[in-house]
Amino acid sequence: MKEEIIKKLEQIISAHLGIPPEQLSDDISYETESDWDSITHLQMISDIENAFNFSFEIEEITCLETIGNIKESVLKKVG
Amino acid sequence: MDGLIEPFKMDFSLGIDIQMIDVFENSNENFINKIFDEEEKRYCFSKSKPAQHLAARFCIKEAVIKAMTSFGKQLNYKDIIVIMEGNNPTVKLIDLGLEFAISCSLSHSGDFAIGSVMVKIK
Repeated sequence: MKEEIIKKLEQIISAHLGIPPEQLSDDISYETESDWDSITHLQMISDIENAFNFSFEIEEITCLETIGNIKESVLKKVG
Repeated sequence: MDGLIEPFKMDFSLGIDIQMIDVFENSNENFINKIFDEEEKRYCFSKSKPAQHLAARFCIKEAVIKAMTSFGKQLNYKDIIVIMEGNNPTVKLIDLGLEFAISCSLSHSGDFAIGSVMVKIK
């Protein structure tokens, strides 16, 4: 179950950031990835919410600054 | 240091943002709802090309967020409402409207929209 969630999540993140899933690491962040801008962030989070059928609070969205943060938060919601 | 102005001591701050308009074409509802309130959506979707109006308003919101960081304020998109007063876009702040005055300007051309703001402590 956890592996399936991570795999699906990585596909969504990969599509938005333009990074192949096998190259995604947990420490990739909003600060270090130039393609990860504010609009990409919102689109990616919206797609994650739609894919897993839940919503983050707006305050949570601004804290999702690394791929590791996103995985951890999604697993808490749906894992 | 002589000759240098310390930005955090100013009573105003500037913000600017530019976006591709196509980001807002056929966007999913969840994405739009994270950024815009009902009045903004009503205005933008009443236009023949909603995406350029959505993109310009997003730029204004992003510009306000950037400008507000100079005052140590962290805002979210829905804390900032861009409304029309006549033909002029105007920014309303939820909660902080009594503390700050904001002047804004937006434009779009071709594939891009741009928004700039000046935020001043009242």
